[in-house]
Formats: sequence, structure tokens, C-alpha cells
Amino acid sequence: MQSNYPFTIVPYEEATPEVKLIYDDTKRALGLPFVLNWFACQGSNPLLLQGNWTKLRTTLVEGSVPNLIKQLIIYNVSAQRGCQYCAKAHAVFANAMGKSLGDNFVVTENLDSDLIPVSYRTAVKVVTKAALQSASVTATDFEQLADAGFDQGEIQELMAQADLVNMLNTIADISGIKIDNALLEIDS
Amino acid sequence: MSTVLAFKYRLIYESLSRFSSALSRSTTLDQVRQCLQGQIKYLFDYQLVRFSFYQQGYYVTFSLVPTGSNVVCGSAGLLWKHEQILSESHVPAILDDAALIADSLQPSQLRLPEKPTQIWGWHVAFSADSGLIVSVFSGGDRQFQPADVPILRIAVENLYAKILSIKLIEELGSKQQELQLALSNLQEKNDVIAQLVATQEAVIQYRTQELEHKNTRLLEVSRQHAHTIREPLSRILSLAYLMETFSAEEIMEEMMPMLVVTSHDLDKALQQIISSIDADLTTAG
Repeated sequence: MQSNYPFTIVPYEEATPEVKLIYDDTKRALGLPFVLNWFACQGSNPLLLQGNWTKLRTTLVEGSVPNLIKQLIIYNVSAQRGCQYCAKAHAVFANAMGKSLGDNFVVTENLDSDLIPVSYRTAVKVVTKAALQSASVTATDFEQLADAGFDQGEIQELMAQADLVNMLNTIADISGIKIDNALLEIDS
Repeated sequence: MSTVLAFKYRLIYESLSRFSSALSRSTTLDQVRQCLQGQIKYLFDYQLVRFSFYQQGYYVTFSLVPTGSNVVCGSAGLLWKHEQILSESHVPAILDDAALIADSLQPSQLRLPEKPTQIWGWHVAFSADSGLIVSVFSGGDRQFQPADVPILRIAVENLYAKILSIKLIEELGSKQQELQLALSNLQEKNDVIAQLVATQEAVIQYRTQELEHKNTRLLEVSRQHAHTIREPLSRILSLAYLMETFSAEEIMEEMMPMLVVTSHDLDKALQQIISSIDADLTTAG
């Protein structure tokens, strides 16, 4: 999707020192040798970039819930909503290890497999609902998470992925960014 | 590596790493329980998991369901029915005898999500008198699978090493406390002995001073009374020398009475000195 909103990609070489510091932080935390377009498209506004990066880092990168579960949630919501950038990017993150093992059994294409523990499947299902239909979330959804073994802190952390993915999808969609070539190379 | 196992490893490698990390940070059995409660759900599905550690007749059992857990320490009486079987046979087994499952679950105080239909059990002996009996109650939506076995094996090895290290640290702590107590007792006894020695030294010093004082006084008394003895003694000696120049009649008539008188004088002088010394020693003592 191409946006009319004037988001401009600010490459690392053209970024201000302040923005370069944030870019470096994203590379360190995500273990990537390049800046993702999702950050580069916010490079002209350091204040918002810093705020959005802080939100992403504390919600997705840090915490006690395995990162794979979070990546699967963001992939699933993005795919169902039709955010191509986020669906592709987070599928790459989620499947990265599977690819390196040289098999074709890709996690994002087997979300219903019973090889995936109930805790993963329940988290993906309930948080996807929270992201796409937040008004319909009821106590039963929280009970499902608790029955899957998640404690209060983990449930809050999981639910935080719902509002994170909405922010990720919104910015990706309205900025019209394309999937990063470097990410496609990792996936190939 | 099979595709299924590779997929399983992909799924849980991060969680297994987190489990190992959380376990390594645990320093008490309750922290281990919390680690198991938080992390095992990311590794495989279960209705209930039991980890029963044993060493030289001492048992630690962890019971775990998705919504709760407990840890208990004690004797072999803590083992559930199926664990007693595994304990004796050492043979891994998938048990699906409903009566045995019900029997085994009898002591459990935890609420299982659904009725389990299988128990997957292992008795992993790490030495002649130490090991871990592991059992996973499986069934319903939470099926334990063959692909989970290698994952469980890794978890079990980590867990055994952790429990062993905690137990070792506890034993060392207990020994250290005993040593501290023994050291404290020794210190107390040492203090008592030091006090006794100090008292003895004081007594000896006092007695020595007393003796020195008496010796000094004796010398002084001897000096003071020497002239008292010397005077009659000189007279006796003089009489003795004179006897050579006198005849026998003269000695008997003139000198003997003088000798008797002088001897009495000497005797009196000696008695005075002895009385004086006795009085002085009595006063000094």
C-alpha cells in the first residue's frame, strides 16, 4: 500500500546524530546489521521515533514471555489484518531458526500444529482477538490464558502485544513502506 | 535430525535457554519451583508433571499443573504409586492403566485441567543412590508427545544438577554453622582457660612476692640479732681458750660456773631470736 502521508525514509548515512543513536540501539537490540524501514520511515521525527522504539523494545524485545510467542502474535494479527510489511517481517523473525535448520516446517504456516504447546496457541489466539476485536474481549479470554499457565504479569505482557501490533500495523500501512531487502535475504 | 524434532527445537530453543537461565539463578527449592511453574509450559504440554529427586533416602518432589505447583521434602513415602513402580524397575514407561493413574493422583492436591489418560515416566539414575523420577500426566488438549522427550531430558539434567547444587550448598551451610558453633564453644573454653591461667599467675605472683618479703625479713632479723648471739658466744670461746692455762681445780671452781652462766645467756639469746622470727613470720603471713 502506498501512502499519501509524507513519510520519508531517512537512511542511516543521512540521519542526524540523535537519530543515528536510536538507529544503533534498534540494531543492537534486534541483532540486525541494518535499520528496518519501519524505523527509517520515522527518522525525520526523533521524538516520535524514540517514543515508538521505546514502546517496541519494552513490549516486544524485553519481558518474560518468549519472543517467539510475541513474534507469532504480531505475525498472526498482521496477516489477518492484511498488513503486508509486518506480516512478512515478523514471519521472517519467527521462522528464522527453522530456516537455518534446513527444514520446510515453518512455524507461521503451522500455527495449529499440536507440536506447538497449548500455551503458545492460546496466547496467539486470545491476543489476536484482543488486537482485532478488543471490545469483544471478556473474562473468559483471560481465564483461558490463566488456564494455559500464564500468570498476571505474563498476561499483561501478552496483552501489550495487542496494542503494539496495532501501532506497528498502522505506521507500516500509512507510511507505505516496503519490506526490507535485507530481511528478504535472510528469508531466502 | 527429523523434521518434527527440528521444528520442536525451533519452537522451544529460546524457551529452553530461558529455562536454563532462570534455573541457574534459582538458589532455593522454592525458587526452582517458581522457575518450573513459569517455564515448563513453554517447553511441552502436560496435565501434571512430577519431578522427584532422591539422594541417600532424602526426597524432594515438585508437582506442577498449569495453574499451580508445590515442592515437598521428606522420605520415600512422598513417592506416588507409579513412581514407586518406576523407582524399582528403572524402565521408562508409558502407563495408561486408568486405575493406576487414579491411584497415583490420590495424594495430589493440585487441580488438573482435564482427566489424564497416560503417564509418561522415567527413572533417571545419576549415581547409585541419587537420581530423578520424572513423570508427565498427559491427556485431553495437553498431550505429551515423543518429540517432547529430548526436550524433557535436557530439562531433567539441568534440574537434577540444580537441586544437587542447592542441596550441597545447604549441607555446606549446615556444616559451616556446626563449625561456627564448635568454634564458638572452643572460644568460650579458651576464655575460661585463659581466665584460670591469669588467676594462677596472679596467685603465683602474690605467693612469690610473699616469699620474697619473708626472705628479706629473715635476713633483716638475722642481721639484727647477730650481735645478741655473738656476745655470749665470744665469752664461751674466750673461756675455752683460757682453760688450757688453768688447772683442773681452777676450771671446776672458777670457770665452770662462768661457762654455765654464759651458756644460759646464749640459750636465752637464741630463744629471743626464735621468738622474734616466729612473731615476724606470723605477722607477715
